Amino acid sequence: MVAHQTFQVAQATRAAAPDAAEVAILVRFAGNNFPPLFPLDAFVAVNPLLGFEDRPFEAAVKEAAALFGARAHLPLQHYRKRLADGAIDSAALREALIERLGGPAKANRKVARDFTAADIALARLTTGSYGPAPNGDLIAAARALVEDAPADLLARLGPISVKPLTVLETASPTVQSAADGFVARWAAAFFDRGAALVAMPGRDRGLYRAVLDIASHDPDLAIVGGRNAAETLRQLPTDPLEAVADALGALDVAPSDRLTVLSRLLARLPGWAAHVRWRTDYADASQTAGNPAGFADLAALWLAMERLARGGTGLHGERPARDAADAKSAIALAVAKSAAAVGLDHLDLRGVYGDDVALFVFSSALSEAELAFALLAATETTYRANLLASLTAPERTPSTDAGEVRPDAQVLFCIDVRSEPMRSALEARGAYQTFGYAGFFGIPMALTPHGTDRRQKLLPVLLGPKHEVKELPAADQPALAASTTRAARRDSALGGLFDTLKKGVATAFATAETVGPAAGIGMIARTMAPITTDRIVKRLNGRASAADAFRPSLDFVCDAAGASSGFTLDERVFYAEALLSLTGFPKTFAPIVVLAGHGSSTVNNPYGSALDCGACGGNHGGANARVMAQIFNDPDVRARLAAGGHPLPADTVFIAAEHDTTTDGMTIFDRALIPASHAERLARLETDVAAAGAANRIRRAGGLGAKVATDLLTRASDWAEVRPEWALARNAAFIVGERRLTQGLPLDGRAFLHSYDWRIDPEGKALAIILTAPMVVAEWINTQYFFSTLDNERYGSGSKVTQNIVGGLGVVQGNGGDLRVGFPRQSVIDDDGRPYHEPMRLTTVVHAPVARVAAVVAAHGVLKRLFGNGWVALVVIDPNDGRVLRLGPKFDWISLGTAQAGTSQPGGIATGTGANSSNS
Amino acid sequence: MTMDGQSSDGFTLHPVKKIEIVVHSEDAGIVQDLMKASHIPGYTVVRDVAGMGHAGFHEGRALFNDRSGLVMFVAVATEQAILSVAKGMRGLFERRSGVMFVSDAHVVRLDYFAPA
Repeated sequence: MVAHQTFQVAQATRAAAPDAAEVAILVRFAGNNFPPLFPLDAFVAVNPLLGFEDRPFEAAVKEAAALFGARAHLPLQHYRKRLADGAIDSAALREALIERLGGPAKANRKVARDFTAADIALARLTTGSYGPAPNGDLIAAARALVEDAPADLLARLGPISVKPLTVLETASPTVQSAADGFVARWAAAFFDRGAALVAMPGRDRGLYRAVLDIASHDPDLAIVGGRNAAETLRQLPTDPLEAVADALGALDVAPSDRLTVLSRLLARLPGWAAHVRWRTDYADASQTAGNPAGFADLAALWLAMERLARGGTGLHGERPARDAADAKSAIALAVAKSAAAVGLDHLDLRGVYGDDVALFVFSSALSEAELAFALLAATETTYRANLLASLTAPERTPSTDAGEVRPDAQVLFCIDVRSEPMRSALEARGAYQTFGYAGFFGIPMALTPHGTDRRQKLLPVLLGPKHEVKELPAADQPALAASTTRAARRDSALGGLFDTLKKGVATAFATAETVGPAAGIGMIARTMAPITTDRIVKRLNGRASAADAFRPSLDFVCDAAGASSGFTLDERVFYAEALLSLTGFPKTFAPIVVLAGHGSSTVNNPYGSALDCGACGGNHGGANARVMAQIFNDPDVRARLAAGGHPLPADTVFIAAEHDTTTDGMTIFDRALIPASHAERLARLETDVAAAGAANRIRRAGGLGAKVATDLLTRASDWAEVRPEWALARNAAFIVGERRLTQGLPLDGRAFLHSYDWRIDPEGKALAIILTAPMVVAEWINTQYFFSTLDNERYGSGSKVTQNIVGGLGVVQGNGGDLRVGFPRQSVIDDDGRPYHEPMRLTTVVHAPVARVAAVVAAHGVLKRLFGNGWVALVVIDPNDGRVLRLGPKFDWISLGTAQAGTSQPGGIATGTGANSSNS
Repeated sequence: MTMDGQSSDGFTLHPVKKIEIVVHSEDAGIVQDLMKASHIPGYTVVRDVAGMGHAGFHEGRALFNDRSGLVMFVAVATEQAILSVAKGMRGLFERRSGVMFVSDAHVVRLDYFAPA
């Protein structure tokens, strides 16, 4: 019966136009091409190609480049410079080319005179357009070879061609600009988050209907669709799903093209599509209430534009024959240039025959994209080989956590790459152990700060909050809490009054004249003495000491409506045990254990939250640290931990702190809760932390072009500073293992470090959590930096200097247009125009038995997708036998070397891509 | 009482269709949109399900990642509405892995399961 019905469904679908259900699927899949764009108040790094992760990396990058009109790679000149600088190992490059040519057998075959395919390809790569110019005979011989080459090979070597499927793709610039402007303008009005003085009416009806109702007099409509455009709009279905179905039918879009057409239309303004993706899959209901919008709305609007633009004319013609001829000529010229570069003449080329023709043409005319991907792979291999050689060097500094000596303090930092140099600097100053853990400390919570109704989600965006936490006045700080509350109310009232006056029609000018002189003095002060001004402002509004006035409350409270806040004892114990087991925390606890979240200091910076903790949803991590410290100091929790095999010494105190990544200072929270008996130890630790911070500032100053390290402090307060810090730029590795694996190594702030002890995780449960969450967040960060650098105009947000905030949700360039995605130019590109961030895919190194790692990967689709499709490279250092293995694309393990048996400090790693090993 | 008739005490079971869908958690939103577009008035969601499939064993949700793992939807509605969902799901399965089962079911309150 069911089978019969299924058959009927299939028959009906082929015959009928898409119905609402089919359209619902289509628009969602079209929308999945876009990553979520998080609002600026909690900006979170996301892979711009998140929707392409189910495809192999290279294919995904090319496909996305075609859809978004973006670059697929950095200019070859960048890599040639890196090659000349020695940053790319020539052996690694040759191996990358060999792999691209189809393996050693093909690559090492002599295809012309004594030259192998790899020789030719290397000449093509290194010479580019700078080699000797080929003569006419050579070009003619090359042309003859190209004519004999298979068509599919030529297609691979030629430029990426995109066949137009919509009229908007081929319409005049004026029409395209009008259509894009129409959608962008009304999207900005509709999605506005309270910045506009007058809200767009009818937003509760949804984006599509609201725009249809109000935009009929928009002059751009006539430019797109002529004088009857408004009337055409009025006749469209008012339900967005019906409108999409109707348009696909009316425009006679073939079923096989429907998804592509929708994707192309949405990709005309990828920023607004990314905003809708955030609303659809990541926003709270409260953040989208009042102005609902989904991909059906956006697709319906775009299809309306397409209908207007089409107006009775068909798609503009292509020039397939001429394009193909042009492509062949370009390939022939490339072949001739490569031949000339190695000294081949036209007679040599005439001697190429049989199977060698395709191989010769391929190796001598590799496209820029093919070459760039080989160079990218070589860059990654070079970095990875150096990293692994360091990690496995036998002369490694002995670890301080190897014995049972009780350290003076233990400090847990976030895994963020900015923690690593700070950890190293602190460890160098005394008997300190440091650890890496996700900066939300495993507490999936949302915090409502005291005196506000603004709920902050302090957790990775992969998770939904499991706990509501309220910030309450600290019982031990009544006077401070009262004065801070008064100051906050005063500031709020003044701010509200100023806002009202500023926006008032009758009061705007008077307000400007009244407060103008004072504002001018403030501007001069902020410009001439930013640090001093910042201190004065903070002292005036009480913020300097406000942190301890209120405290996140752990008390479990359940109201009459069933809504709860806080944590039960079971939950507290669970999160404490999770921290201990996931980090492999040693049995020996120091008298002081510091939980250090992190945040940045920056002013007048729309992207300020991008500098904060990604594991805390683009917020500061101090609140999570304060919650976790309270949990560990709870006597009931300690009793349960002891019963569970984790006894904590009575004199161990957990202290919450926050590392300022801009200034490398550290704030200690809740000092009133720290026993006097620990004051001296804490003072010593703070002295060492300050010294470590100063050392780290000196290290960072060079990269920021600062004359002296104190310039970094100025950047934190300077309202004209476009680059307060480099944040996570140059990130490249994610290392899972004990600190002794990395301690003392010059990792240069490029590695996420997650503490992990394989010996206490026999089933790989902790490892699975680390790889499926913190590593995924690291991969999002890595790819956001990667693509923002690769094409800052399409995947990044362009220069900060010309950005404007729109609707309180994002930025645009200039006075309108698309919402910009990704990082600004100043976050990834240096002042000299060269990339500061080195785009490399993340290398994850796990110190654990390879069989255990393989089992974890096999059980989790997200890991199979990321590792299998080449978005992240996985390397395992097996502590049992010292093998160092890389996971291959077919989930085979490739040997990269053998370490000293039975230890984690093996003796040497090969720099090559390795040889196949048996599956584990 | 029979399965498609009226019992002696006036208790009636009405025939309807039931659809059970298992997809990856990250595709849950698509299924929800599909339910809405098909006018399904309500459905049950079972999160963090695990199971064996063509790609091997799928673990449930990871501790710190709500978007990993599998999720199951169960919906009961008129035949027309369930077939609409099934048609849409076929489009999803062209690009994503997952399973769905359509079967006969009976309900007492037929109006409760009428299209929204």
